[in-house]
Amino acid sequence: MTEGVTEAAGTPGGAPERRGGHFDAIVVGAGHNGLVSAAYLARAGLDVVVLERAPVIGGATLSEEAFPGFRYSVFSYLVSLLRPEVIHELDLVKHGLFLVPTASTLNPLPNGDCLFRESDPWRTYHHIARHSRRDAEALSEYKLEMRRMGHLMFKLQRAAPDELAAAVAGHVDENPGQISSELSAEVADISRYFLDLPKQRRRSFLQMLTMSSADFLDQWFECDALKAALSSSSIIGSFLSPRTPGSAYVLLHHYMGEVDGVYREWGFQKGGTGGVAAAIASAARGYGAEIRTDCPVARVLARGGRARGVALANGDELTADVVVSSAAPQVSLGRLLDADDVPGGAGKGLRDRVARWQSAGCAGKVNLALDGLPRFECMPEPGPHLAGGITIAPSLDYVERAFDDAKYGGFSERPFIDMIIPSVLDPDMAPPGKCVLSCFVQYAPYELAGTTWDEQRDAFGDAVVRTLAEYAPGIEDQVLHRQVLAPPDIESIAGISGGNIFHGELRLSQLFLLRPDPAAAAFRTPLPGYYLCGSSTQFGGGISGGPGRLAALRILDDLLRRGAEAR
Amino acid sequence: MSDRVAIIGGGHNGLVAAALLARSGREVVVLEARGDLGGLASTREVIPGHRVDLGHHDLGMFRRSLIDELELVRHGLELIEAPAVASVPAVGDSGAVVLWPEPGRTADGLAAFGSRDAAAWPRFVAELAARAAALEPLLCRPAELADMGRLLIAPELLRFMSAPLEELLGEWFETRALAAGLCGLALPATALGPRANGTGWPLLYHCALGAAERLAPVVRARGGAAGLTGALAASAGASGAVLRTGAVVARILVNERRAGGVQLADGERIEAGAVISTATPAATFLDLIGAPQLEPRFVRRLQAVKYRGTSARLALSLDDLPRFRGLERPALTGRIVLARDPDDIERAADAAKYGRLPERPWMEAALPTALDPPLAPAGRHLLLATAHHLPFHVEGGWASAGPELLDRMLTELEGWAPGVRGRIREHALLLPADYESQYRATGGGLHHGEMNPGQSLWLRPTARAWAGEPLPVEGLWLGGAGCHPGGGLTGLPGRTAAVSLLRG
Repeated sequence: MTEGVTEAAGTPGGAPERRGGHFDAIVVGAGHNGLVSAAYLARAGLDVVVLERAPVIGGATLSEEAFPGFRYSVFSYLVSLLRPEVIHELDLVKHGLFLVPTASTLNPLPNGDCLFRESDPWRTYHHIARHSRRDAEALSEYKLEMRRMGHLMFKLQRAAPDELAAAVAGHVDENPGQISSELSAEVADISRYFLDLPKQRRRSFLQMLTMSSADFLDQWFECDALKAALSSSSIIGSFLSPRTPGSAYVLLHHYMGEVDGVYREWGFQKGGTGGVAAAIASAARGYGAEIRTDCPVARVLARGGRARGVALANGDELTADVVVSSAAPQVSLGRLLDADDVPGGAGKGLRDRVARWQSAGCAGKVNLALDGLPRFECMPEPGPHLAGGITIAPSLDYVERAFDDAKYGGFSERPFIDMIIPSVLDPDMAPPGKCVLSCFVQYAPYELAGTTWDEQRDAFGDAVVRTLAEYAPGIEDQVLHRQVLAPPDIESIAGISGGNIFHGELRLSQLFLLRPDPAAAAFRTPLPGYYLCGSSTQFGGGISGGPGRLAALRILDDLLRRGAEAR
Repeated sequence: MSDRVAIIGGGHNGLVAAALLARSGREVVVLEARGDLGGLASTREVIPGHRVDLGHHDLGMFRRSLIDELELVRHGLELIEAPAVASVPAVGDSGAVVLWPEPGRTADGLAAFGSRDAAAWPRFVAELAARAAALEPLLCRPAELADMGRLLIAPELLRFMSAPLEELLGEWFETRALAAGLCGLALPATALGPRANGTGWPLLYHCALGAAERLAPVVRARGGAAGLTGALAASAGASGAVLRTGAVVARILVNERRAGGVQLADGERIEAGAVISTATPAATFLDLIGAPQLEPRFVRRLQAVKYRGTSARLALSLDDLPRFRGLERPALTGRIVLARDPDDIERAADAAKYGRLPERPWMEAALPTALDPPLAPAGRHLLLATAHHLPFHVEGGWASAGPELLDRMLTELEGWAPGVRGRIREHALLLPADYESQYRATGGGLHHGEMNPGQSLWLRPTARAWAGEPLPVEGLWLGGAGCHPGGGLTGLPGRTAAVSLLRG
């Protein structure tokens, strides 16, 4: 299934590969975060190599032609969280980043009605006011509040969580009205920003960290269908329901995005999401980084209490001053790291804590090749709504029931589906007159109770098509081909442990100092010279590139400091 | 302006506030709507000749300092500590689990399961106690902004407060009944199943206010909960507080955003310079003051408070102690958790989400007469079985759901204690709707607001403020379980209100 051609693939042109050898920095994993880190390190003049286990780069941002003439964005399907500073600093547009905005969200309802939200707030107002005038009025204020909260999270993201928390704790205790002078200017700035927030905003922030999205949205809206529609962002990629505490944070996480400066807009990469990784890879290579595929890393080498390089699965050893891993914690801090190499005997405690990391995937992907455009009962004719997101989440109870199925180890009989039609956004994705439909489906637990995904993959695909047919009658006869991917497939193809798209649940017990571990919360690990840069680090998750960039900046900072000390 | 303090509600928090203020020389009048004091900690003869606790009756979390300060022992309080904390009876092929206050004794019992749990238990209790001790100071005063930073740099505490309880327990134990017993201690105050995030918090809350070095013991007052509220009333009365029963407060008199007293349902006006309300935030502001006097934004916040965590209590008069499989007599003195597996609780929570009764309600049972025989006439025993995770707005209404619930509870009980149905002589059932209509517990929740992390610490009202913003009415203090730190028989919200009022 994965043998499709991929443009994202590509072992480097240019310099011939060295077997073994020494580098300034080794990056483990060529997903988008690994590539971003590599690009920033190379841009600073370091000699960098990226080692990718798979035959292609991109990790979860993979595109392929799985069916003649039809291109699928296999896993990730939309981009919004990609940090603008990453785009600009790495000049990704020059390297092929081309995001087509999705301008609307359609939520079909079972009674043949729908909720339709467009980027034009006035038109959205009228669509929502048909259901509730009060909610239509509240929606713009809600968006503004979420935007402010998203901005706060950006701010917090830039500081090391331990320093930031210490600053907030110390503020009232020792230095009323002052920020300790020992903190970096950045942390001081951010903590001052946090302390100066209006009380109402700090309250919202605390609510977002602890509440369920259903409770949070209850404070704003009365219409159940709208609450269900908005709660979609609170469960994407997370083994949570809208009524599970903590889902409000996932909601906020999805409010940190923009496309071309348009806040909260989602974009589709022309040619498929693989193009995003290809653009970053191209930028990294442009700065001189080398990228090796089919090159699995077996473990991190350490000597004298420092990381010294990596051993490859084929037995080769590469040395480096710095090793950065973009893999999930079970790999980065587990399989790749020998507990005995961690100084101070801290390795065993670390390994035990990593074992509790929750990153079992809960989402599947069903990619459909269709004979023609789907006809949704609520809006049967082709129109701009097909160029946006379409979500099957008609009520809070509907999503809740889908979750209840999965809680006990089944897939949702009537799942939550978030889909786009990539071929409408980019006609090159399918032959003329045909289309591809990319469905992100929840819930599909990593482990099924009493059965296996190999036995249930087709039944899961059937459940998705059957559910779609409730809203787009006749769609079952339009299907030419379907690709059904469960979390174990995401694990084996994209290399994410557990198949969790965020490398670990985004919830308070796995955020701040706990992401992914108190000993490795600010990109550094307890083994000096060894760093993390994947989605499981500070506020990670989604195609943001933020962790990759911040990790690289942290590494460069540390190298500078080491250099100064050596002098 | 009057120096008098009017306290709305003669529950344990109202009485604590009254006793503290009266001792400080303030003129205090307590206004209790019902004919007896005690509120959700009352003991009534709902079965003739039987003294039945209707709500809270475990004093394990009650502040010991209040007992001394208010001289409650001199005023008639007699504490009885149960030998056992909690137990889960044997069912099917799984054995009984008994949690004792002494970790070693519990571990000895767990050894029978032949798992790693016996070795893990003392370490678990020590770790739980350490986390609880770190949390305790935050519960005894309003949480400050700096605490937020302190909590964030205590990652293990933060993790325990925010992760799902089932997952946390799974890191320690294999025995499902053991996990079920601990979930049963923690989750009655919520509508959340143990797989939900944030369910470690109520267990920590329970332990932080319990005993410092061990699992919070079960402590009861002789004579039932009335033994506590009676002593509180005696202490308050001895200091000069006036305690009026049958005094239904109809509204709080507010003039230019300042409380000036209360008006009773019969029209009587009681002037007061300060008013403490121990009613829920919703009842206090929406019923007794009224939305038109408040800002719409504040009203919306009040309406958004969740009062989930709804229970029904079944009192049974039995002609002998029931025989729970695998439990010897001392084990019958603690809380008896009737759930085989955390999933039993999870499934009850699932049903409640959609307004349905659980197919198989999980229950928390107590045998008060095992500790204090005179609560029932000679030859009789009381069994109190409380079903939790019930929906307040039940499909079809409580008129038909009530009998159905009774039937399901009795069926479950019979499964746990074979033969118990044949021993029942009399029964009484208090439904969630009764808690609201009789005790003004909004939404039938016994904790005046669900004990979830989104409604706790910084986000729960304090005596004079709510999430950093002062309450909109001057001269009004909140002193009920809807305030920080929360529900249960702690006396803390009442104490905080009194202390805050005295400080001005």
